[in-house]
Amino acid sequence: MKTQFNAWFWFGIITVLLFLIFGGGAFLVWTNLQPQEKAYLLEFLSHHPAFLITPFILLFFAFALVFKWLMDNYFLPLEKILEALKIIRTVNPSHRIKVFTSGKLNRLAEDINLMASRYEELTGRVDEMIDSAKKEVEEEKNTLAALMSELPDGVIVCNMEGSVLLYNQQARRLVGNSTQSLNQQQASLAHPWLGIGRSIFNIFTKSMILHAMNDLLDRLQRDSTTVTSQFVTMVNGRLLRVQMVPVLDKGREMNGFILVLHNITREIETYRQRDYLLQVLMENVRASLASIRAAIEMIVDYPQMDTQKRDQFYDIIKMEAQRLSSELDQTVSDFSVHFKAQWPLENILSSDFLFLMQRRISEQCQVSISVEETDQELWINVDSYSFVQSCCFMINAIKEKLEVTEFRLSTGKEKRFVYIDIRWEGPPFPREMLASWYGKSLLIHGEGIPFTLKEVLERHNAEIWSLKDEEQQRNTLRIMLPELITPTPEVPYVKKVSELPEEFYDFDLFHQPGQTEELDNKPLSELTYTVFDTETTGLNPSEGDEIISIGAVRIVNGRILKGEIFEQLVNPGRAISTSSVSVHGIQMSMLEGQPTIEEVLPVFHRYAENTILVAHNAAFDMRFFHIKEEETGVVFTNPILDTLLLSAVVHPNQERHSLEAIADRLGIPLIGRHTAVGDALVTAEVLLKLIPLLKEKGIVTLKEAREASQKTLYSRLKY
Amino acid sequence: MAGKILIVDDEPNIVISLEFLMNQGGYEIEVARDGKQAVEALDKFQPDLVLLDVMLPYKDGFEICQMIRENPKWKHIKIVMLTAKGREMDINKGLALGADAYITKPFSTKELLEKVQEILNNSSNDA
Repeated sequence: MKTQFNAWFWFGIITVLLFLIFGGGAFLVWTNLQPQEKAYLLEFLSHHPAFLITPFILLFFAFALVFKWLMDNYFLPLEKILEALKIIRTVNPSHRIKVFTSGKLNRLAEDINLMASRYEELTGRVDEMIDSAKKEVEEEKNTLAALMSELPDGVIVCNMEGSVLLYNQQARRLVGNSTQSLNQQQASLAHPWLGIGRSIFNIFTKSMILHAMNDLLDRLQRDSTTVTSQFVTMVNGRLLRVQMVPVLDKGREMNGFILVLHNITREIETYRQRDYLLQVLMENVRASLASIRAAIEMIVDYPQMDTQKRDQFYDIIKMEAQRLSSELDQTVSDFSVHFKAQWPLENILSSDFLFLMQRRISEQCQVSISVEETDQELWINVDSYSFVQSCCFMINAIKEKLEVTEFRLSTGKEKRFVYIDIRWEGPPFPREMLASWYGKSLLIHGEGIPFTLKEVLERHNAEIWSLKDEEQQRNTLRIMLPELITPTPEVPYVKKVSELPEEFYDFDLFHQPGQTEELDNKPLSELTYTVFDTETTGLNPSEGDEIISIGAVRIVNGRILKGEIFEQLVNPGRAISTSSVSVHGIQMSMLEGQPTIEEVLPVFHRYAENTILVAHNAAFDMRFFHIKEEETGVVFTNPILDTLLLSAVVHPNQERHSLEAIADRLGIPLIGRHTAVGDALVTAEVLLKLIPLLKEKGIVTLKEAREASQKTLYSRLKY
Repeated sequence: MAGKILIVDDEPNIVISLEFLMNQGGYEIEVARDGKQAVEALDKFQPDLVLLDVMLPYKDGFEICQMIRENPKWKHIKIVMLTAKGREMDINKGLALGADAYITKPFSTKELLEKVQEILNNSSNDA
């Protein structure tokens, strides 16, 4: 548009100049004429004015035609070629110039296209080299991320401003999940948001973090040996123990911190209950003992008392002694529940386990145990203490009942199970004996653990039964355990690079300036964006059309965080027009049971907090939000950028600025169009490609981008 | 010299022994089985000494102890706390709230009787 205007402006000036030259010439001729010649000429022209005007008109039209031809065939195509060249040179090397009709320009375009192909090939090769160089650095980062993802505790890395740079899945699980859809869990409305570039103060109280940071700085200054700080806090109903460790640069200056989160809800509860049990036990034992002791002392100290009184005291002693034993039993059984909660299992080779059994059982039960060797590598997951204790208990019972003193142990595999056989020769094993063991506590000579055989088997997902070979008088007790397919190796398992969700780290955020600085003067490349799109029932919000879907992604430090997508269908509470169904394919039935816009907008508002809102044709989406302001109380005060306007700023000579056209021009593949998230993703990629192009036009900061947008023709478009 | 003793405890088995013991010591006895009965008995029976358990229905022993100490007309009443709560903290609390002695269960009956006699003798000497 601009080029065309410029061209016609120059055309006007040249025309005026031409007239001036002709006029000047005529004037010179006129002044040199004799008076009678002048009279003759005037006479002639007044009779034939066409001789004076026609050449001028003809000249003007001829000139205009030539100019128009030049404009269409040289100047405008040239402008387009220039823009195309810029696209090729900056963002999309595979972009090509459409070929024109005019001969020479046609050849020029073809030659440029040829050059572009060469250039593309070349940059491709350079990119490859850069990629492979980057890869090494990436791999190091990935190793770190992988190690973090394998940690049992939650880890969050932040810079000094409290922006999250990196976190692992465990951390996300511990503090709540930002991508959880509303309908899956309404409670997610109250979830704190953990995401890259988001403030840690969304999750932990600011004063708590600042206190811990000051503590760390203090310790650093004092050169303390333990530079960690710790606090306990409640997040989302979980009690977390949070440890803060500083991230130090080369000069031992703190430039960030790591939070290690550990869920202690269960632990604390167990301790609390255990303490309570112990206290109750103590008080009850004291009370009963007091009664017994007092009664006995009465009998002893006052022998002259009558028999009735004495019998009363005897009864007290008997009753309290019984109460004492049942109190102990009760405590032991209550205690086992709590002990079980902290009953860890370990991985062990079944053959190693047999030798462990051999040593312990022959010692404890005084029997002879032999082990059949095997080369099979079978892993099982056991608590070796309670398991060996169980076997010990059974062997001891067999020894006492059947007078057997020699046992053989063997192990093997059957389907997906590992069996451990205890075999002996002698009298047949009475089946009812096994049943009688189940409920019994595994105490041998008063020692052991307060569990029953049944509880131990259940804990291990194990089963037990007996086999008989009557002819050879051989008995077998078979214990079956699930086989452990992938035992944990000693070296921590590191995930392959490709398995890692890439958005879990972004170290460049270390260089981010403070939140306090004026957003407007920040370069576009350093801002955090929420790029979103909506699908609606129709095009007229003022006539009752409603939002039925919101999709959004976040861009932090020039990276699209695909792991932190916002996607939510919305129940519009009205019918959807058939024409819009054909665009987005969302049927009414899909929206039943979805939350309403009143529920969704506050959540989206929170998601977009402290970011720049970006949409393609943002005015359209914002109209829908504005209409809901009064109802929901949600007002979006975020700065807004529109990719449609920005594209028009960058390429004023291109007629089409639809999302498809722009994406095509910038070499962005169109995937999942006309779903809110799909469009938001494409828009996000468009924005990332536009930022360097804007920079070439001297548009660097948010303020400049906004002002340039306002100026473009398209901003006058109103819905 | 004899005196009046109020036994406050909800465990009948210890009450029987305490009653017998204090009877043998020549004291006049009244028994309260919970916090409410205890407060009533304080007015009606006007004891010289209270053997006070801590864990009681309605009002716990600490509360009763505090009530006695706050009321000037009960100033002379001696308090011996007799409880299964044996933590040092509980002992501190009992003494801080104005108990004259804090004895944890199980205890020696002989020593208890001696303690009661000692406390009552001291109070009559003061008076």
